[in-house]
Amino acid sequence: MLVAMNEHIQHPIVEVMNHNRLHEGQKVSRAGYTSGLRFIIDVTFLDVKAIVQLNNQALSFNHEFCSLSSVSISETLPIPLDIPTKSRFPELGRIMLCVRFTDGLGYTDAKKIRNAIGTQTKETKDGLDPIGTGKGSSGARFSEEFRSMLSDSKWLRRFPSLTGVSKGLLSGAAAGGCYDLSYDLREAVRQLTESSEEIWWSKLDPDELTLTPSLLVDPSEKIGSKFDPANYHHLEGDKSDNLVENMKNVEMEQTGDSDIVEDLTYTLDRMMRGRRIRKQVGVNQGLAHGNESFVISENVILPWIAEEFVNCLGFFLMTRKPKYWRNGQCEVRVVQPFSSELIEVLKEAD
Amino acid sequence: MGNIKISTKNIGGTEKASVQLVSGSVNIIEGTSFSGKSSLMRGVLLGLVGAPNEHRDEIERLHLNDTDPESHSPLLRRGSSEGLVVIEHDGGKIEARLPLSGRVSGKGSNEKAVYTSMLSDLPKTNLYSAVFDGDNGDDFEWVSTVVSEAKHYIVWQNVLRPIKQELVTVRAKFEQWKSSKGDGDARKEEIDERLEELDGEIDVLRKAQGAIDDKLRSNLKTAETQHRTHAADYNHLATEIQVLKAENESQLRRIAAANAQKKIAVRRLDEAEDLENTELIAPDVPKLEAAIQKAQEEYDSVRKDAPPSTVRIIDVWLEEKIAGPKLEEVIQSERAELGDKSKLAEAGEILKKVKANKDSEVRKFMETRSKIGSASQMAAAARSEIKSANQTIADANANMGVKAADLPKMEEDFASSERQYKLSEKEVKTLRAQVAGGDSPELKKLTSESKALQDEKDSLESSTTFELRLTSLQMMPNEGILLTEDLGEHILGNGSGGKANKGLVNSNLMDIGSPEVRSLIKAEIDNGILVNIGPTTDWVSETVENQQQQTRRIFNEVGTTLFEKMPNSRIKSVELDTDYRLRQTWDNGETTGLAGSGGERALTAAAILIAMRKAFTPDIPILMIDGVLEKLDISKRKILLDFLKDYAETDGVTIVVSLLNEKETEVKVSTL
Repeated sequence: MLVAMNEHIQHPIVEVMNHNRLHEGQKVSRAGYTSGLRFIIDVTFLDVKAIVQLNNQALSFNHEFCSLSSVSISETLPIPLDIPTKSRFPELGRIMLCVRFTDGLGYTDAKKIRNAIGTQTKETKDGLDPIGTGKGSSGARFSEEFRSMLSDSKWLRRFPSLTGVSKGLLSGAAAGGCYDLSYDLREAVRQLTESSEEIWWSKLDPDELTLTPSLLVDPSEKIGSKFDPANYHHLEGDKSDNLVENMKNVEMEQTGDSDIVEDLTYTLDRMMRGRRIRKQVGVNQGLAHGNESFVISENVILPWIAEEFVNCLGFFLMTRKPKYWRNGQCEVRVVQPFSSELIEVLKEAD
Repeated sequence: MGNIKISTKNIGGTEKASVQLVSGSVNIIEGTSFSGKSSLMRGVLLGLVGAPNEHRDEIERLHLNDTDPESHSPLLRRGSSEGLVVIEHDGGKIEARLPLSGRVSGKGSNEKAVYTSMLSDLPKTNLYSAVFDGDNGDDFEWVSTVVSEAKHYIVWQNVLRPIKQELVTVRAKFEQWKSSKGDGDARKEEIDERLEELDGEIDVLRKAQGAIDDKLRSNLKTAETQHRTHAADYNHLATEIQVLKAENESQLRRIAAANAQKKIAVRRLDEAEDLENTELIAPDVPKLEAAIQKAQEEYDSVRKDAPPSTVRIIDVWLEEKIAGPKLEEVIQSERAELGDKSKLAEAGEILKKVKANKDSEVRKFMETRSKIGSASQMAAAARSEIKSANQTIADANANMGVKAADLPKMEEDFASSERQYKLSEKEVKTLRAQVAGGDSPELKKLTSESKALQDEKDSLESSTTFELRLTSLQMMPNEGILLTEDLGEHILGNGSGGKANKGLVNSNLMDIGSPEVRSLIKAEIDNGILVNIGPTTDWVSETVENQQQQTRRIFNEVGTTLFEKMPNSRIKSVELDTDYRLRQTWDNGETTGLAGSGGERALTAAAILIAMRKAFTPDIPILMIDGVLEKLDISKRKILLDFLKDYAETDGVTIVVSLLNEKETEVKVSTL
């Protein structure tokens, strides 16, 4: 099917992901089975017309082993989010957390390298899922409220195919792993907007009649809600700093390259600033008596939560298992159903 | 002649406007006062100028980013949330958006146009003030410096010129290498043919002399043939692998350079986005004004009903505290008469404080807004650099991906070919050793000829790569780039063609030294910048020359010819001397500084504007004069218009001139 798809779409497939599942009720580790394949095609430098054609071509794929084909758009997020990406970040959708394996990078002993290669997939399958609970999982690193923003995680193994898709691509060891999850920021935004009233912002004075109303939102004070970004995994003070220190030590052991460490430190410093910037909303954002809550949630709280939500996941990928996950090659991707309108928006923003 | 289409939305007092201007002509915009002539022209200027950055002062002076509905001349239509100007010309498009926040964005604009594209009296452009109000006296040096970037271009010029010269030699050497390599290949073919013949002749001789039996002779002949075939295969594969590796190295260098460029751009983007994220809180002006009003009332209530003139004198004295002893004594006594001294002083202090508070809040807001505006531009530039770096990386990966995929197989083939070649060589040697005798003079002669040819073949140019190391770029020995024949042609070019790499120079113009320019060029070698070095050097030199001298030269040409056409004019010529001081020669032979009537000054101003446009923004297709024609009597007006018409036709520029016409209630455009 791999080769058939490769021939069908006539476009380089940069990676194949294999959705690996276990039989229901299985309690012990053993080989799973492939229940789906995901083909990643880089469309960064294609124009809208070519992308739409590619979509049609992919959807028309027919194969005896394939019951359903669908096309989604995946956008690798800059971490921290930049202003344009933040402004169009959807409040709900699917997100992918992708890592590349280190394959024992930094070890010089053959046995240790073999061990690392032998365990990295299992370690990743257990540890990469941010909502997973149980042995080796990572759910405990996030508050229950944070986890409630994520659901329905799916495990995929990654097989890059820079030199073309061949029949035996999936038979070798995976080069990385990925969790695909649903996310929904709406409840967090709603709760934060409601519980911050009279702390971060106040409603417009009903007696004050003006054509140009404006409101100041000052989130400098932390509030009790666990949805407040101050409580996220990457902003836990010393605990977070220790994780960063550990990541840096591992990187030095692996590559000994201080430039890489400097780059990683720079990115993490920016992610961990936990900025709580005052914002003003007014007629430009459609502010009027009675819609204060809506305007603030859309224009202030949602972009802020989106930024810290992505920062938190990025921080998790960079610090959770640096021994197994190649730093600097971890990615958070947002996945949305294909639409030509979305493509146009993304190309316009590019 | 082509047309220029201007469309505006929510600019000035007009919701939507659209006009067609004829290129290479003088387009006259007529209308009554407040009909929107000036707004339309300022809208066009906004489109040409775009977002403020370097020349913010002049842009704000002309209120091009003014959106405040309470201002006397906001460019954004009152009550609208965004203004738009689109200028379409020769397939090109210039666009500027003016949102309520005042953060102008757009594309295709050139900020320098704020000085070089318009002469207007309301608001007054810098040029108007300089010529009509004599703001700087006779000193017109600013016309050559205000938008000049000559000193930055000189840095590039100093680096580019030696590279251009060295490339001539390098290209010649490369051609020589290619041709000696080609000659070598041809000679090798000749030698191979002769060697084959010699093998045959030796074989015949050996047989004739009984130096070898039939079986051995046949085996040796077969072994020699195989050896030749394997040697050819081996050499061919070795060359191909060397070429492939050299090409991959070139792609890897491109990736490394693009990554370095990307890293810098990402940091620049971060910095810009941090600035964009700066808190921007508009001051609550009504509240601040209410506080001032309250403090004023408080102050008035405590100062009782003293005559306002006395109060004013005391207020000024309180502010400045400068007066002679006698005056101070009188003021103190009058102040005592005003009432409770401490309360008055306190109320005065409070009033001063609340006024200062309002000023400070408003200033802070304006400064922050201005910083955010600059940051948006910085961010856009950084995003574009990141995009370009990503494109280079993807392209290099794609090139490498396709070819590099063949490398492992080729290396396997090469190893196998090497084994076969060495085996056959050994076999030939062994068989030759078995040949008994064979030392007749004829055989010896043929054998030594064969050996000599073999030696000659080995000594022929066999290098498949040419090392490029430019001393003008201060490349270290380890920075040499190995070029294959194809790669060399692609990277070096043939010295003709190519195009000026304006983007690279313009986006790296400010705060850059020669070492940085060299690094930038080195990083671009694999992207083919050397092909464009000639045109780029010429363009940079021309720009330096234009910006350094052309303003003065063009102005002096215009200033002389213009007045020659006006026999009745008292002024005979207007020139800028080498110190950029304005010199006017009068009909009585006297030479003075800036002087003359409104009409004569209008001509001087138009000449300077034309000179600045030619020197600094020759790509901007429009030149506008607003509020000047009305100041001229009919005869002078005709002379100016004739002069502008000549200039428009010669240079293909679109000139727009406003003219007050009380009969035209709506703006009307006609061509002269």
